[in-house]
Formats: sequence, C-alpha cells, structure tokens
Amino acid sequence: MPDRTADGLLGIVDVAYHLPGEAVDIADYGARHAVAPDLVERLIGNHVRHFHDGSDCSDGDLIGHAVEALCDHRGRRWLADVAYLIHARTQPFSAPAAPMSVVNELIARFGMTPRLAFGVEQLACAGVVRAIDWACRLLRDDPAARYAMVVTSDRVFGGPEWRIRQDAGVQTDGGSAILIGRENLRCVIGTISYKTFPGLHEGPSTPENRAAIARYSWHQTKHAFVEHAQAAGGSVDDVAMYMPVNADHHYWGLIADAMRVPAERFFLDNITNRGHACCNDLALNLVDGGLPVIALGGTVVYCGQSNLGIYANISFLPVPEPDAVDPATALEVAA
Amino acid sequence: MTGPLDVLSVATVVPPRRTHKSRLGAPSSGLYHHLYEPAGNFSRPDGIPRGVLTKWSAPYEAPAAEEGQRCSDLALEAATAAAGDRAGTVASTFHVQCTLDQQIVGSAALRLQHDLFRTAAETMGVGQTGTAGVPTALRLAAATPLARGRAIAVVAADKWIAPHYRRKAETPHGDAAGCCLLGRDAERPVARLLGVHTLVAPPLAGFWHAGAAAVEDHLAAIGATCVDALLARAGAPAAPRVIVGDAPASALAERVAAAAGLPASPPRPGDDVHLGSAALVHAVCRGVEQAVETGAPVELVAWTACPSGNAGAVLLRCDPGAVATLNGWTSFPTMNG
Repeated sequence: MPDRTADGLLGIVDVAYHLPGEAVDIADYGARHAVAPDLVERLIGNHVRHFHDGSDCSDGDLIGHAVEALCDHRGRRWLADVAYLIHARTQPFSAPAAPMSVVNELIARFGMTPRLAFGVEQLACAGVVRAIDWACRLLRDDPAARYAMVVTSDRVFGGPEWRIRQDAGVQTDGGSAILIGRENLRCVIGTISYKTFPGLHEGPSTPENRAAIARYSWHQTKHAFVEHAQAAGGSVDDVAMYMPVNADHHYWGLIADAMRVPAERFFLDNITNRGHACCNDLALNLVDGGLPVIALGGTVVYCGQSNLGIYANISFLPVPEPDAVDPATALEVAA
Repeated sequence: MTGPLDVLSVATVVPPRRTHKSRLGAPSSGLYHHLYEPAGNFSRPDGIPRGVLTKWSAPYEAPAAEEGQRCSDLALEAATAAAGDRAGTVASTFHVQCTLDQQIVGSAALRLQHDLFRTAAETMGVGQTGTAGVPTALRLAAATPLARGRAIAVVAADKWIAPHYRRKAETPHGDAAGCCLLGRDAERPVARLLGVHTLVAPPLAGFWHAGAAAVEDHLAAIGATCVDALLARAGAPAAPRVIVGDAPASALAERVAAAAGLPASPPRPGDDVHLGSAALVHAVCRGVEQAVETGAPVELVAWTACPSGNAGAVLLRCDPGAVATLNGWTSFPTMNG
C-alpha cells in the first residue's frame, strides 16, 4: 500500500500483552452472576465468548506483567534506554487514586529513567493511538533517544452491568507494553489519522448521546477509515488487515460492506477469544493477528474507536529490506 | 514553526473558600461507587473503607466548587477567560487533570474543543503526572508545530471529591482551574518561556500512611532538584529572579526558595492552599503581577511537585506591560477580559 511513513523509520520493536488469569467463558459467568439466559445466548450468537477478570490486579501489575514479558524476550538492559514512557487507558477509574500515577509506579518497579513520562487521557480507546503518535513525535525530535514505550491498562469495575456491552461485547481486563524505536523493527509505523465529532464529548451519559452513538458511530468509523486511506495516499482496498476493537462483530461486517472490502479482512477472532480490552486491543490484535500479516508483506490498520466522538487510525507497514529482521513468533503472555 | 513559547494570556478560576471539616474531598454520595468494587482497591486511597466519605479533621479553609460544578466546567471557565476573543486561533489543546470528573465518562479535553476551541485540530488530556502535569504539557506544547498567528491552549483543572483526599498532608488542595494561551514570536507576550524542566521520580513510598513531615521532605527534595536542574541550564538572569511554588505561603515553598537561593514572591491571601494542577498557572499569574507592580521585567521560577514523584519547574521572563483581566493577564490590549 502506498503510505506516508515517518521521517526515518520508526516502528514497533516489540510488543506484549498480559491478560490476567484463565479465560472466563461468558456462559459460565452468566450462570454465576444471574445474567439473563437470553442475553447470554445473544452474546454467544454475536461471537462473544471469552474474557479475563483481573479484579485482584492493579494497573501497575497488569502492565508490569507485559513489561516482564518483553524482558523475558529481550533481557533487561533495554529498560535503561526508554527515553519516553506514555500510558493510555480508556476506563477513567483504571489508574491509582489521585494524586498518584501509574507511570511513576512503573519507573520505580523497573528502574527506568525516562526523560518524560505521562498519560494520554480522556480520548477513550483512541488514546492508545495518540500515545503512539506522541512516542513517534518525541523520538523524531530527539535523535539521541533510543526507545519510547507505550503502556496501556484497562480494568472493569463492577459486575455484569459493566462487564457486558449491550449484546455484542464483553469487557476484558489487561495490560500491554509497546516498545517503539528505530532499529530491529517488527513493523513500521505509518500514517496516523484522527476524525473527531466532539459533540459526543460527554460519552454515553444520556439517552440522547447513547442513541447518537448507536446510530452514527458505524458511519463515522467508516468515514474515518476512508479518510485514513486517503491520508495514506491509497485506498481502503490496499489494506491487508483491519484490526478493529474487539466487540460488535456484526457492525464490522456492515462497515466492510460499506467500504466494499471483503469482511475477511477484518480481524475479528479476538471478539470471541479475548474480549474488548479497550486500549489494550491494539497490542492484542497486533500480536494475535497483525504481525503475522505484516511479516508476509501486508499493511495493517488499527482503528481506535471511542464512544466520545474521536476515532484514531494507525497503519502498520512491513519493514523494507534490508532493515527487516526475521519475523519472530508473536509474543503472547497469559498468566 | 517551533521554538520558544510565549504566554499570550493567562487566567485562573478559583472558587470561593469554604470551611471543610473532612480531610476528604466533597462527599458526593454514590458518585464513585465503582471505587468500592474489588477492582477499586487499587484505585482508591489506601485505608479508606467502603462507604467512607468523610475523615473528620479540625476545620480548615480551601476553595471549593459548587456541588454541581464539574471539573470540566472549571476548565472551560478558565480557558474562556484566557482565550478572550482569540479562541478561534487555537490549533492544539492540552488539558491537564489529576482528579476524576464527576461525570465519569465525559472528556474535558474534547469538551474544550467542542465548546470553545472549535478550530483546534487536536486535543488530549495529559495525566499520570500527579498535580504536577502543567510543565509536562508545556514540553508537549513546545514539541508541537504551530503556524504563525495560531495558539496552543494548556488548560488545567482539578476538583477534589471523596474518597480522594482534599487534605492528605499539611497543605490542603483547593478546587481550581487555569489556562495559558501560548504562541510563538509574539510581539510583546505576557511572558516568554525561557526553560522547562520535568522530573519523573519514584512515588513517595507509603504515601497514604506517611506523616506530613515525610511528605514535605519528599516534595522539597524533588522540587529543589527540579529547580536546580532548570537553573543549571539557564543563562545569567537578565532581570530580577523570584520563585513561586505550590502553596506559596507554605513552609515547603520557603524551603525550596531557600535551596534555590532565590527570593520568594510575597505571599498573598489564599496562598496557603495548593491549587492542584492549576497551581503552576497560578504561579505564572503571580510572576506577571509582580512585573506589572514593579514596572520592570521579572524572571519567574515557578515550580510544582507531587508525591506521585512528578515535579516540574519553568523559567519565564514576565512583562511589565501585561494588561490585567478579571482573572489574569493578557497581551491582547483589545481583548475584553
């Protein structure tokens, strides 16, 4: 796919995620928590099945396991070369109590000494893309910096009314770590684009907003994909794989139809296998679906879709020869 | 266009002082009930059990917003005051917030874009920086390309609601908001940003059970370290230097000023509280005020520090020609403040 890449190559050096505990089956969970059987049936009919519950983990724990997975793979010396540490999350509660900070917890836990560390906030599931965008901007402005690391964590607070998303999704808890740099890349970070409808800034807090989100978000998402392809200098058909957030299976089929691309290009396996882990979905889907496609030469686009009226798309491209490294086996850690 | 940032205008919004008898913030029952779920054990102040919304203390005063006044309301009010009739020039918005908004799923950052900065191409919240996030936002603003005549808004707001502490250590937090409108190559800005330094350190161990002295020692250490690092890179002063920190009338502020060897700006009424994320914006207002009052430029060292392990310090040359507005200072003489 023709695409605008970063000035000098910036890309993902390594990526890992952590989902706590054994996968929970929605049928078992529904029976244990008195979820209406017809809702469980509809969920399963909408390809929703498994999720992970990390109520006994902090955000620092979830991210910490993902960082440890990178350490298992790479050793620990790289931690000293993380110049920028950026956190992203969707769930507003998913952080230590104010005034404490999860990035400072991680710095203490791993002995990192970044030049700058902060969280991208209030952009919901689009936040992870903005975090990667900032990682790239900061690395581009700082040639001496070797790595930026984007970390994500999201947890559900409460029972089925918060765990289950209508009848087409289930929230899962998790954390991820995405190491971004200039060398030994697994993929190149290409075009990043945003489309904003800030009239939805209050999120699904009122019946009117919920109705507007339900009615318009698929249409807005489709436009975001089309405009992203234009920004990248190509068409929606050039993309080998679209990685949506892990919910709303039927809806992605509608979008594929509207864009006139085969529905098979949408990576939907994790709607069933993992659940919607909010900002972690990028790492989940990149590891489980995207990296193998990129290793074969395909372009992958991730859609960070929020319920706040902001959409963020990011392209991941194959590494041009001769910088390419042997595609390593996708790294997955499930405790 | 990149390069040094200018403060084109600055404003703060500080609600009236009220008497508080609880160390925790406003006791809005049921507002954050999610925090009492099992998952909330990691997102609630340690030692606050389920159902507890007050932690009685001797009465103290601190600014507090009305019950229905949200954090994003405060942010919008400060941004409106700072932007005046220039809101349409804003290209990027950074909103700094440490506390949670009481409308939990909303986004103050996107609200600012929708309600005020409609021409902003990008907006985001900056967090996980404790109450010391404004210097980080200034660094991000400095890394943001800006076309001539366009501006960047750095907004900060916090409102303290139980079970979060309004007064964990000696100095209480006041609800407040602030905004700096930033540009480049301004003819005569309110202040020119000469340097920014941020420090990311491990959090104060055992913070939730630490005494006031331990908290102050930690803040003094990281605050002074940050100021030292800032001044080590600064050139010789071209104007008298003063230092203003969080809660300018506190013993902590005196310690950091003494460590830096700089005179503190004279305390004013209300300087005994920490204005949360807006504290550094308040300090900028104080520096500009001093320049105007003395009729000569002032170099301001403004610093902020938080038990999260975040600290930041900025060096600004404040202009004596700044024009007063109702809530701050501007360089736009035609602006209706």
